[in-house]
Amino acid sequence: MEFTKSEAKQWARTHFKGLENVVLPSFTPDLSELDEEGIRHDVRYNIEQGFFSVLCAIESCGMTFEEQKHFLEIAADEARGKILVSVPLLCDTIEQSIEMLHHAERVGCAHALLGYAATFHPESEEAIYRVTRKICDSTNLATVIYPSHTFDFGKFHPSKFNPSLLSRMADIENVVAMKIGIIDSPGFTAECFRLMGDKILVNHPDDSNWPITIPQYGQQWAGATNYDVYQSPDNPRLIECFNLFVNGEFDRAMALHWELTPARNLLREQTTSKIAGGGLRHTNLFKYDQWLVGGNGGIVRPPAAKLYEHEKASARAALRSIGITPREPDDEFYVGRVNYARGMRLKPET
Amino acid sequence: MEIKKSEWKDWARKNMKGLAGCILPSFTPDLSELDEAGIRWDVQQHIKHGFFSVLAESLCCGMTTEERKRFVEIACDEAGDRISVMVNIFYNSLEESIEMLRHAEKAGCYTAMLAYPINFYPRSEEDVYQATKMMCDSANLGIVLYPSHKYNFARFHPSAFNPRLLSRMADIENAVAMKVGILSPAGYTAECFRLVGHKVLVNCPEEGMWSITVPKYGQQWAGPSNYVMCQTPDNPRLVEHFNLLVNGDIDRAMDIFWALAPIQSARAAALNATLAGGLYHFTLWKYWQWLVGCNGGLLRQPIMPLYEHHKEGIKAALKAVGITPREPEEEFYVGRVNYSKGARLKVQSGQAV
Repeated sequence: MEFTKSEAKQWARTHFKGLENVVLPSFTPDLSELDEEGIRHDVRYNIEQGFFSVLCAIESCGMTFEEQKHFLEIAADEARGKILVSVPLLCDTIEQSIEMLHHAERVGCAHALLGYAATFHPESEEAIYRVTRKICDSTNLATVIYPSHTFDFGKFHPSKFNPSLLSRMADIENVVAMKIGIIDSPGFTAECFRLMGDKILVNHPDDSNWPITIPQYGQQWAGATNYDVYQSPDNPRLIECFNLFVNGEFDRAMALHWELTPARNLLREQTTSKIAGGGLRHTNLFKYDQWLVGGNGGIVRPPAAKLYEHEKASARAALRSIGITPREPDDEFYVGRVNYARGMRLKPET
Repeated sequence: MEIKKSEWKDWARKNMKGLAGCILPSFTPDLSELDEAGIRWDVQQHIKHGFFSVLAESLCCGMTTEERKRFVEIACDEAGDRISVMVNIFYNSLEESIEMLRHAEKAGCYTAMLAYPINFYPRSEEDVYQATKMMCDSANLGIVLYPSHKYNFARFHPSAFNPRLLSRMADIENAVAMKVGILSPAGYTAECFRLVGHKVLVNCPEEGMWSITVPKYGQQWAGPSNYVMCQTPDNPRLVEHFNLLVNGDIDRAMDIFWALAPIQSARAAALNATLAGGLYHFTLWKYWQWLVGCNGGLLRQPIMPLYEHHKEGIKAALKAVGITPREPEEEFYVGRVNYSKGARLKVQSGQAV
């Protein structure tokens, strides 16, 4: 580790600058195994685009715990020294979360996004705090707290995650930042920045909020989400837009913001779909979006939402509306770019 | 009116503070005529709730132009000096809009919220500016600019209403304020405050945003909207929430904000479904307003129908924030004032008498 626990907050202030993107798992065309080369391609692709970090989305589709670990290991190995790698703790049990943290530390991750285990049904906010504390204490990694509606903590506070509870968590030594996961509540956003913006690095991941959150609240990083859909390695426009806001160049930042708006309006339907409302992400569609702009692609293993033609057409239209030519042919997506280059094709008979 | 055009911006800075509510017309139970007493009741209610202004929303259902004018007259007469009345200029043609602006001035309104006529299909932003200027020049009123997605101006700018065009409009002498009608993305709100906030009083009407826009951008008024739904005259919580934010008492303001969360969720669930299409569920507004003490009564066609599941959802939300919904249901259908005079629904025909 580059830092000790007591240095974690300071370390983050220096290193969490810009955008954190997401890398999704790639599989062999028959979905039986992880596709190591595809995963490495996606990490390199994130480096080329200029992201400061990449979140390795181990929870995004059906994988064994061992596969999740291996996915993280491949990504961390490819990333070493070039881009930070983080892991989301959306595991089945708290024990698994802790085991994943130990693994993440061993393979060279820098930080973890703190989720709550699927089996965790706390009886009080105190119980949430204690578990958070236990998870943080179990690791030397920097941790990012993540208030989200998906944890069903609305029973404790109408905001769905009590900002005062978060503020208490922010005092934990290796809690360095926050990803706002309740993204449709400006009141919640304002409270997060007001109550703990001086303790940790609060981030609103939705780029449509940056014209407010950067100049007014000093947001210095954002993520993790699939920002790459707005850009290409030779024209990393969203990163540029973010950096212009940070540097106080409001006119130029807003010009880019409006330039990307037609795509944002179309892509918003993906992130606000019924699938998202149910607390899930449309991994196959995210994977498709990434492939259109240079990612490896490849469908993911079930359980994952199905990908339809109208969704693909809408994604391509979004990219064209901001001057990006979507990748072709579609067949390549289904087996993954790296596999396609090796001559693999969809089996027509199946 | 005593205010000179050159004084409107100053007037606004001094007088547009707090929240602006919204009243809808009331009719006789057979819907044949305006119910003057019902309209006056609603103005009185809004005064008791602590609103500084009220929009006389005449475009919420079928009315003749003469009826719309009369509705505004009654509202102004009842308001006197106790609350300022605003009109919503969203008519069929530019000529009709100007006619209504002049009438509003004569009737005693202070402000008009400027939308664009239904038959207005501009070829350029210059056309939009010229129409705006013409409407502003036509009457001695304080004008509230209203950029909204409803006009389909996204063909000129991806934001749906170019903030720089607004900035030019904000220089018009009697343009005093602005209601942000493009609520998402938040970037639009930020641009309006940045580019126009020093010229006119920008207001984001969405209460969820106030915890940002009041402390960070100095928003001093909000509306007009159906804020009355969240409160009662003896406990005007949303007005209080806004004022606490203005006074920098964020902790107490946010306590009220979170306490009102159940009602905000219910409002969003009930009302947002029709918003993207550019329509408001005014029948539901009327019912909701009645539940918290306003006159109620049905609106004339064309309107969206009111269903039992709507009603149950709203009542549950009101109870969740400690407001006892008004009863009995029959009172709503004829209007509170008419009901107190003995009017009842005609049982045999299902029509009110």
